[in-house]
Amino acid sequence: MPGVTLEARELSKWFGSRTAVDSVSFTAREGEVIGLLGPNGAGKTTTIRMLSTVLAPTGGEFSVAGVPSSRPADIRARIGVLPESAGYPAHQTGLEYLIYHGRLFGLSRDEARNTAVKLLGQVGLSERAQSRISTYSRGMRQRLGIARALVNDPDVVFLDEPTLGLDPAGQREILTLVRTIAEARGTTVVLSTHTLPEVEQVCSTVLILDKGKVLAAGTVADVTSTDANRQSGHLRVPPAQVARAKEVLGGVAGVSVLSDERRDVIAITATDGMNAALSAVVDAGIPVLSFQIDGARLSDAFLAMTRGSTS
Amino acid sequence: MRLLIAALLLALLPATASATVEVAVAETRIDSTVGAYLNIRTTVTNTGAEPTGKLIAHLNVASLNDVYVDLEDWTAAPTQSVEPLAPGESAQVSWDVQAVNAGVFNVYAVVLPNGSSALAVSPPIHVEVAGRRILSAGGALPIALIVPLLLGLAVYAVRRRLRATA
Amino acid sequence: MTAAAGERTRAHGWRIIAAQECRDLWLSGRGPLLLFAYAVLLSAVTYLAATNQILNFLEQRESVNLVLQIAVAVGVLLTLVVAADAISGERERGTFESLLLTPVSRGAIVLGKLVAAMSLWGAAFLVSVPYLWVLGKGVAVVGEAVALGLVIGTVLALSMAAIGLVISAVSSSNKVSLAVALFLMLALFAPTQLPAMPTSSVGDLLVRINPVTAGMHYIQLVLLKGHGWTQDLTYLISPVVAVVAAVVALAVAGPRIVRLAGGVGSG
Repeated sequence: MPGVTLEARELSKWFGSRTAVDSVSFTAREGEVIGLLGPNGAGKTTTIRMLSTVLAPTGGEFSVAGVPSSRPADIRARIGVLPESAGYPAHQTGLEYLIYHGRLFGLSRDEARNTAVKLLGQVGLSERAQSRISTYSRGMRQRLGIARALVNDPDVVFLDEPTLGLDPAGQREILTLVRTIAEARGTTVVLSTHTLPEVEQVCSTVLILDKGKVLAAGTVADVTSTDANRQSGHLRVPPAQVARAKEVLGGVAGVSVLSDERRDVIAITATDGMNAALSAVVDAGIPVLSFQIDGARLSDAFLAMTRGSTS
Repeated sequence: MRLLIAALLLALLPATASATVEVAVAETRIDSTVGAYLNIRTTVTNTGAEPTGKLIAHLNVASLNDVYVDLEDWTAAPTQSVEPLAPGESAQVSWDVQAVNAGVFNVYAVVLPNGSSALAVSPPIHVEVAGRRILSAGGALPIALIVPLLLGLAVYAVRRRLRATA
Repeated sequence: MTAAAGERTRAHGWRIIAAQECRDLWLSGRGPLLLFAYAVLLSAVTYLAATNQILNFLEQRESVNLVLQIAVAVGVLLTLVVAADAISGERERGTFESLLLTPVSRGAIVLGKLVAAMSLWGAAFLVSVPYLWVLGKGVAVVGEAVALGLVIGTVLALSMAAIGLVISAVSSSNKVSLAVALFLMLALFAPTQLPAMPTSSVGDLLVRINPVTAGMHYIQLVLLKGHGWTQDLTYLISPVVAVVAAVVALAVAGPRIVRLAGGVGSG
């Protein structure tokens, strides 16, 4: 079994009286891609900032690659981080930027240059190595950020919302890169996101956070099965009847109306099958134009667990 | 006028018997140009056996070649007070004066002891003030133009480099 | 990261940061542009001073003193502004977190940024030398003026750069940092414009406790009034105290205040 590279115990952070992270504990192993899931404000970024020693925890402790949190500089030497909304010096070239960060991690000038050239190749930026970062697209900057996170050949890589603001092609490129990092290098990757398909695609384990607390942890299959009886579905009714249908569904025990994805489609979840929901709508004389059961997915478990925060 | 005021002050202060004071100057000759500041430094020493009372030190400028001297123009504060000195004790007294006229002058300091003792006078400092050296504005013009021009070129080069690699 | 790499980071981290910060300052256009504006100002003052020597009763030493005082004041101001932008500016540009994520210590980050800010003072000082030379040549005052500018200017610039970094580190935004720094600079420099402050004992005390006015007054005493360098050393107490206090405060508080978010009490 691969060794433990990351271990957090009862990690907490308060900002004044507000609790951002509340007693979070988990472990991650070599080569594992762990998805940190949660709605906005769940505490994902704060957790990553604590684990990357940028923020001091209010309570609890952690270790990275066996280095305890009491030695922050040594931890920083063993991790790579792509911060959320990272900024880049616009006037530097991608190559200059990576060489500089390589030097900050103690590489000699030549080592830093060689590493920078290699990493730029791995993230597909070789051709733009000598261009100013100000001319890079958002996707290119994210790839440069990932290259920067790898400049010290880290044991653990934290990627905070790496696909935010990218088009589907850009998202796919980044996720492929994430998988490669974990598989080829044996690096532990902590991927923070609120985009569920990403997690299902690349993560071996997930940690669902809400309001700073861990709601569920384990493999994707484990977490999905914690809410196995819950089913979700989409019900399409005439637009004029949507409000009434929601009212009717709201009165059915075990059925929850989730969100308005489209004007005429109602997303629902039910704990004991969909029959009761469907009967109630039909009995109320509302025409059902279409009905689709989505089955049990990570997104269902996530939405069910974080209903209060996401609605 | 100031001497008169000093003498009046002297008369008003309580007498201290047989105090003897000497005034020495740091240099005996100064060559300068008109408009320059001169720092006149003196040392006042109590050479008597008794402590002095509070002393008044006064600077004066005398012209040796009939150039008109208005002491007010040379210094705004020719008179300074000196704290009482114990026997053998010294105090440094200095004046910043501006040589406002060209010519040859003697500058000297007078210390007025308390009571009926005689005035103590420093040796004169021979001051020769040469006529004003005039720097032409034209001399400064090349520097005033060249330095910003060179830096302007540096700014242009940096901007161009940034644009070229953008 | 190897042990050798860790050792290199500990030993040279500040130098790597200083070198990069200097490159950013001087090759991104901001440093040369500030220096160009500085040179234009000194050119104008020098030309006017030289003209006034002919028209008015402005002695050559007074011209040199005037230009030196302006050179030091504006040079120190520019250093303070660059220092005040160093941390809060990076926070706003989003590049500070990447720096905090390296194994380089917070102290090394501060030291690197301090050196970069001081490079602006060094350059400003070099630019001022030809102006001092052209006004002071012929009266054997140039060497003294240059030495005074270097010593007093460096002491003042170092103290202001250290204070600027502290302001930058604790400010909630870059705007706040720059505003506080400029206010501080005005508050410290305004008394230099008051006439004949040291003639009263209270005025003299005010001049002495303000490091900027004390430093400027010392320059005036040596350069203009012909005092010896050691004659009025007491005027240098407050500049020296300021630089020691600011650097010590930065060294002690640096690790705590150099963090991701600015503002008092933020985490």
